[in-house]
Amino acid sequence: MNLIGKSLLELKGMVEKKQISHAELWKFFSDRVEKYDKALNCFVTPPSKEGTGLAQNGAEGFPIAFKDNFNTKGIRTTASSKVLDTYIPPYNATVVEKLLGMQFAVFGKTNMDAWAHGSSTETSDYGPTNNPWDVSRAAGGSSGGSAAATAAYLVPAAIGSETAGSIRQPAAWCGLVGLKPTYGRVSRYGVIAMGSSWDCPGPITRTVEDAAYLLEIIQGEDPYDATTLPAGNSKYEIRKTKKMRIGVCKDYLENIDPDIQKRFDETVEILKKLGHEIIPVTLISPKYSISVYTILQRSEVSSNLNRYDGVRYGKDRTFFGEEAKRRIMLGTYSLSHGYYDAFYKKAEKVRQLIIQDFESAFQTVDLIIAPTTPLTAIKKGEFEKYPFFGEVMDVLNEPAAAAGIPAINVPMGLDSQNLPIGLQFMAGRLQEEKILSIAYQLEQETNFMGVREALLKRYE
Amino acid sequence: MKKTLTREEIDKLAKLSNLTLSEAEMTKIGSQFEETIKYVENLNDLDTSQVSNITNVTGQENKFFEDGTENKRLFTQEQATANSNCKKNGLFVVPKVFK
Repeated sequence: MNLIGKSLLELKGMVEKKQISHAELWKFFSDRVEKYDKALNCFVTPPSKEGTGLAQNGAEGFPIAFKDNFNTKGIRTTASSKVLDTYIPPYNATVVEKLLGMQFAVFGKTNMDAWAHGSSTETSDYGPTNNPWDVSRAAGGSSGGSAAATAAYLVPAAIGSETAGSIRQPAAWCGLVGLKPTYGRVSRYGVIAMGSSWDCPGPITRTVEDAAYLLEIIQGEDPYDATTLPAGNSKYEIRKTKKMRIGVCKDYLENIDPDIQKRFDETVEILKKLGHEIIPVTLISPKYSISVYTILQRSEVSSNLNRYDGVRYGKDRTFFGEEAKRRIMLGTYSLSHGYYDAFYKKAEKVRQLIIQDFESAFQTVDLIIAPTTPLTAIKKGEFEKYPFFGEVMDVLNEPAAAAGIPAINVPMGLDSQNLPIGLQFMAGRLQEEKILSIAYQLEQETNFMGVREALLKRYE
Repeated sequence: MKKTLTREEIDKLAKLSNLTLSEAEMTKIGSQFEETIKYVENLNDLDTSQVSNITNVTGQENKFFEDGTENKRLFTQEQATANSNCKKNGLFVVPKVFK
C-alpha cells in the first residue's frame, strides 16, 4: 500500500475503514524518521520505536508531532533549550489534551529555535533543522522542525506555535499550509510562554482541509487560559465558494524577491479568474510592526523567562543561549524605569493603531493577500547578513500577529532555485473560515502547483 | 532618545535580568542595542495622541472562577517538585534572601 503524501484526513479515513491500523501507521512514519531525520534534524525527541504513543483512552493513537514547547505529560519538553534539557512535564498542554481525546498520540517533539526566539531554527541548542528542499538552507522558524517533518512526510501533520511568523514562515519555506488562528481562538495553556499577548498555537499541514480539521479540534474556550475566546464554528465550511473582495497593499510588496512578486501577480490573476474582486487597500507599513513586535515581545520574554531560576525545574540561568540573553536584556531595558513610556507604552499604542487600521480595511475587503516572506529559504548562517539580524524575514508576518487576526500560508509552487514560495491570506478577527475557504479554493484550482509532490520524489 | 548604553548601564540591566554575561557578550549586546534602538525609533513617525495603550488585542475583560472549582489539573506535591534539582523533604530549596 502506498501511503506517501496522503493527507491526515485520507489516512484517518483509511483507519476508519480498517484498511490500516494506528500501529502500522506508526511503524510507517517512524521508519521514515529513522531513514531521513539524520539529515534533517526535525526532532529533539524522536517518536518512540517501541509500540505507538497512546491516546487519552489508553488505546494506540494516530501519529501527530508537537513542537517542543508544548507540555506533554511524561515526555521530555525542552523548548530546544538546554535549560530544560531534563524537564519531564507532569501535565499536558490543553492542545495536546484535546488531540489525545480525539485518538491522536504524540509522535515525537519537534525542533525549534530555543524558546521560539528566531525565524530559522538555528538558535536551537540541539542543532539547526535543515530544509528538506536543500539541507544547506534553513527550514524557517521557529516551528522549523514541525514544518520540515511534515514536508518530508516524517509525520502526517504537526502542531506549531506562532508569536509573529513562527507557523507561516517555516510553512512557506518548506512548502506547506500553515495556519495562525486568531489570538485567543486556541488555548495557550501548557505552551511554554514566549510573548503571552501574541502566542497562538496552530496546525502545519499538507492540505487546507487538514488545517481546518485540526483547528476544529484544538480551538475553544479554556478555563485555564483566560484570554481564550468563546468557541467558534464547530465545523468550518470551506467548500462553499463565495465571491470575495480581496485587498492588495503595495507596502507588503516592497523589497520582495522578483520570483515571489511574479508568483504573487499570477496568483492574483487566478483569483480574479475565479470571480473574486481585487481591491487596492492602504495599510500602515509593516516596518512599524517590526518595532512594535521587537519592543513588546522582548518585554514579555524578559518577564516570562524570569521563572527559569533553576529552583522549580530546569537548570539555572547560565544555560540560556545568546539569543535568549539578548532578548531578556532588551526587554528588561524597555520595561525599566525611565524608558517604559518611550518604548513599551508607545509600542502598545502603535499596536492599537495597527488593530484599528486592519479593522477599517476589513470594512471594504473580506481578505488581504500578501507574500508570506520577502525571500525564499536562505542559507543557514546567513541571517546575520540581513539588516536587523534577520528580523526583517518576519516583516510580513508581524502585522497580523500584532493585530491578533488569523492568517494562513499557502504554498504556491517553486522559485527559479527550486525553493517553495509562500503567499498568505489575512482576515478579520475570528474569520478563519474565510481564509480557509479561499486557500481551499486555490488548492483545488492549482494543486499548489505540485509543490508537495515534487519534494516527496526525493523522500520516497 | 539615547542610543548607546554605558558599561555601568549594561551591568545594571544584567543584574536586573539575573544574568551573568561574559565580556564578549556584554560588548556584543551593547552594540546590538544601538542597532535595535535606532530601528524602533521609527515608531515616533506615527501620531498616537488619539489612542490608548492596550494590553489585550481581542478586547477581552477579566474572567474569574471560584477557588476550588477548577482543580481537575491540580498537582500532587510529588508531581510539583518532580523536576526540581533543589529540593529537600518534598519542598523547594530557594536561595537565601536574608544574610
